[in-house]
Amino acid sequence: MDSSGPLMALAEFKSLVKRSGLTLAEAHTEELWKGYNLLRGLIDAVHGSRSLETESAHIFPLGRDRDR
Amino acid sequence: VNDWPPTIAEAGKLIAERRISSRELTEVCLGRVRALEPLLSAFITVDADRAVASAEKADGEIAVSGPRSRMHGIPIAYKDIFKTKGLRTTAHSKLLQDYVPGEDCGCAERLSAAGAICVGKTATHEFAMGGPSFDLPWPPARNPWDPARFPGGSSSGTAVAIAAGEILGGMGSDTGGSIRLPAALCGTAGLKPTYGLVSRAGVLPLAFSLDHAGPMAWTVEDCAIMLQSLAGFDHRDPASADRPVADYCTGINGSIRGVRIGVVRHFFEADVSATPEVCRAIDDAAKVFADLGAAVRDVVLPSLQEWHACGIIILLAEGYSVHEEWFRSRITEYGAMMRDSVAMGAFLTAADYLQAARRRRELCDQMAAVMSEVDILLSVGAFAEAPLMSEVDKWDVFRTPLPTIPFNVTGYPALSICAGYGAKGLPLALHLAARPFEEPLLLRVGHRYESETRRRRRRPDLPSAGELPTR
Repeated sequence: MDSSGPLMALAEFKSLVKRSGLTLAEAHTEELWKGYNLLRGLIDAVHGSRSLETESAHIFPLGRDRDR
Repeated sequence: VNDWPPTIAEAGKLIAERRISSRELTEVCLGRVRALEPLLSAFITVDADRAVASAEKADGEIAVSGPRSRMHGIPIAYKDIFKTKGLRTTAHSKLLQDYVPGEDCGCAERLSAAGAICVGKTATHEFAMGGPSFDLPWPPARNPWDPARFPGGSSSGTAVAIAAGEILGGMGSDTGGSIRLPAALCGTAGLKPTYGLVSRAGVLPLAFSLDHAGPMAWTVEDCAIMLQSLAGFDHRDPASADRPVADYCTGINGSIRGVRIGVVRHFFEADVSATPEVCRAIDDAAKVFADLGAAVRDVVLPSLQEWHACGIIILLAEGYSVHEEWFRSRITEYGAMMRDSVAMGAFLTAADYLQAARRRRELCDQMAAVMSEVDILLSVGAFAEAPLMSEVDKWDVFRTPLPTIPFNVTGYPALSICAGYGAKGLPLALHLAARPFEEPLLLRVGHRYESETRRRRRRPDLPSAGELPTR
């Protein structure tokens, strides 16, 4: 885990696991919590400010959707 | 091992001139498979009997009317997420260990129609995600330059088998770099074509909007020859591009004078620090291109971290959607590396995914703007030589940006090429990218680099493969 420490507390992550519908052992949940705290930085990065008008791209970036 | 098979380009000429048969060539490859597999584990399934029978059939066809393509009689293999009729397709996973498809994927249909010989199915990271896992029914592939080292992934087995001379070419898939990263660490060439150019019908998905199928081979020219047989519209792939297929081979020796090459230096010097020898290799490559008449200058894109965040969020969201049902009912049957990575998709929200898709739109626009001023982007295929297998951690993908993922986000064609060797004697790699559907230029630039540097003569120093059939 980054030296800056976890971005989400373990108890909060456990509730996230519960909502996901996954059935995980306690040790496995704690293992995934380590990964999630690394992922959290990437999630935050895509939530930066952008104009209200920015739509998502086509789900396919190129190819048939763009050729139409 | 002295009895290396020829390249696809060389073999095609030898076959056309009747100086070698497909049967002889296939036996050379199978001999190397038998000798080297205990060391390398590149294959999940070797289909030796059918390969020999197909080669004999090809020889008969060639004797009557000559080769019908430059792939006719050439031994290849498929990453084990490409469906092959009557030949098990496992995704390197316990979940599919007995799965035998009833039909070929689009790529296998096209390569078979071109006359290629399928030697077997190659090792991958489980369902093309994760890392080198030791808790799966088959061991992970090992790097032929040093079997203690990671060959990259997820198209590990295809890259290993090519670098070890077990096949002349093969198929990989690439969602964040899975063709180009193993090509980089194993010293082969690997092409991720433009999104939509090569069919993914019948290829087990990881993330629909990032997945690409593409050729891997010892040289760029061989990738071009394979692409010529692979490219084209397939109505079964909803992203397939309905447009004429270009000629990827005829102009490959042409001049690159005046081609504008932009070096994305901040990707490997600031965003992530590549090793000094990798940085030198890119500087050397830039000089090679300049000496060939290209106009080389530095360009700036959004940081690699921004591309990586966008690509990984989309990959995990789409990947989890593919595996959600099995994650709820059969999660213990996955290996830890794949399971724990893809499980992260369960904790993303709809807003996370859509914000990443919106960011993708902005990033695509920014790359398009830069690519209006240059024709080719030059960067690194990997930041360092291959690490030890034991050094690869399942969370690495969340820590260090992939140098390859910007081109999955945009769908632009991209190529990894051997750029020399490091202090440990392992391959270094450069990475080239072009505008959509400009594979002819991309392959020409890559081929001219290989021709100038002549690094394709060096092969891994493998232990003796014993008495191999001679051609």
